[in-house]
Amino acid sequence: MKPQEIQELIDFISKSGLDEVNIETSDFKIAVKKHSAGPAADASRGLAQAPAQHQLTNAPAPQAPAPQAAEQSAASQAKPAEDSASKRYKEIKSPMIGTFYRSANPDSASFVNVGDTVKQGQTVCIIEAMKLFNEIEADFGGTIVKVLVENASPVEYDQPLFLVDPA
Amino acid sequence: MLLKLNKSLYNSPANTLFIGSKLIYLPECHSTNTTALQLLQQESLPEGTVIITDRQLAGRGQRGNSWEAVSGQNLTFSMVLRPRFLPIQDQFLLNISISLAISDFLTDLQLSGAAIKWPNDLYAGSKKLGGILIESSLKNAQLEWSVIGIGINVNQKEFSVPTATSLALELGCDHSLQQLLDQLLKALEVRYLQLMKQKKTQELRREYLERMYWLGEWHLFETEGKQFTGKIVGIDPRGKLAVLHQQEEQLHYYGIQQIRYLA
Repeated sequence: MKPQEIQELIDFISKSGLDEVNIETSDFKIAVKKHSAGPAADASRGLAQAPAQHQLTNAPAPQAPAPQAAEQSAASQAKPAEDSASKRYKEIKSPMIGTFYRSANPDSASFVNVGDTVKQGQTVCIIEAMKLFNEIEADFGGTIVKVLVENASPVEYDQPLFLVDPA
Repeated sequence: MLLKLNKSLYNSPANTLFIGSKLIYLPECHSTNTTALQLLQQESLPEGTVIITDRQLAGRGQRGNSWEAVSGQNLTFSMVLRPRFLPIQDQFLLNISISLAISDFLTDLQLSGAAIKWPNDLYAGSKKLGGILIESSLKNAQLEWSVIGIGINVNQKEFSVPTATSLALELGCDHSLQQLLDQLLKALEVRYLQLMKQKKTQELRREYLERMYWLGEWHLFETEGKQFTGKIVGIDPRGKLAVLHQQEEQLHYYGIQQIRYLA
């Protein structure tokens, strides 16, 4: 299951009015639970906030990097506890729709990793669309705090890709 | 990066305005695209710079797919462009222009049955004759420069795969690589200037479609492990392939790697 599909699933559930959903297939198991602080069918709460109000449990599965990614992106969108710390972080966003790649080739090293210092103008990733490969440059310098997107997954226009501490 | 100085086997073409005015020849290199990208990190190359080699040790197709070329028999080069006038959401037009230029070049050589296989392979009949690899750099959500890698099989006559062919096999004679390079660079410049100045994008799209491999014919395709009969009817603005499914009578759009051509 792709991170995007999980995100969509969460969005769907948040609008559905269901309190708890459990899905299990041969290679993954996912449980999404709403903290029922308010009325269960209150879909009027902003979508952007919705993911943070869900608990995502990741049952032990042999290969399940995807739910982790969903957790990551959910966390990046809104997590009140981290607000004070994350406020000073800036995001490098995708300038286009495409597929996100962290390295130039499948067998070469990632352009950047968490903890790396990047300079303005340094290539941080590649976004591919219709076989056109675009090296994305950092438009400001700083330290990579978090990689928000899984390698080789689809990204939307303006989607945050990296969290950077510009200090 | 240190470039070994060698007596160039190629000269800059006399018939172009800027494409190939600066020409860097390498007897061998890993990939001309990689060399161009590395050079651009260090120095500013004039628009139209061409890097050409006789032997690519690690020629690349799409993300790691290798490109098979025998030394000194084929055209293998990269060209540096700065298409800053092109909004990034329209960059498929760059692919269209380059594909059309190579198609123009093949038509000039009297090659019959040449077609563009979506998105950017050149076919003669049902065999691959050449390919394109475009790698760009984006700065502040703008195209900073694009490296256009082009490989055309010219005088090579034996291939390890039955799906490859060359101009020599198709036309029955060998060609001078320098002469073909001149012709091809000229064709590329004409199409690039057309894209830059006239911006007749509808016209470019129409021509690209007209020369598309399998356009308007029923064929067998595969998507997500399932086979179906369909007909290519066009592309969307971003370059996705529009295929009409015979059974469902419905139109579906596909990105790269979402569809395979079978028969």
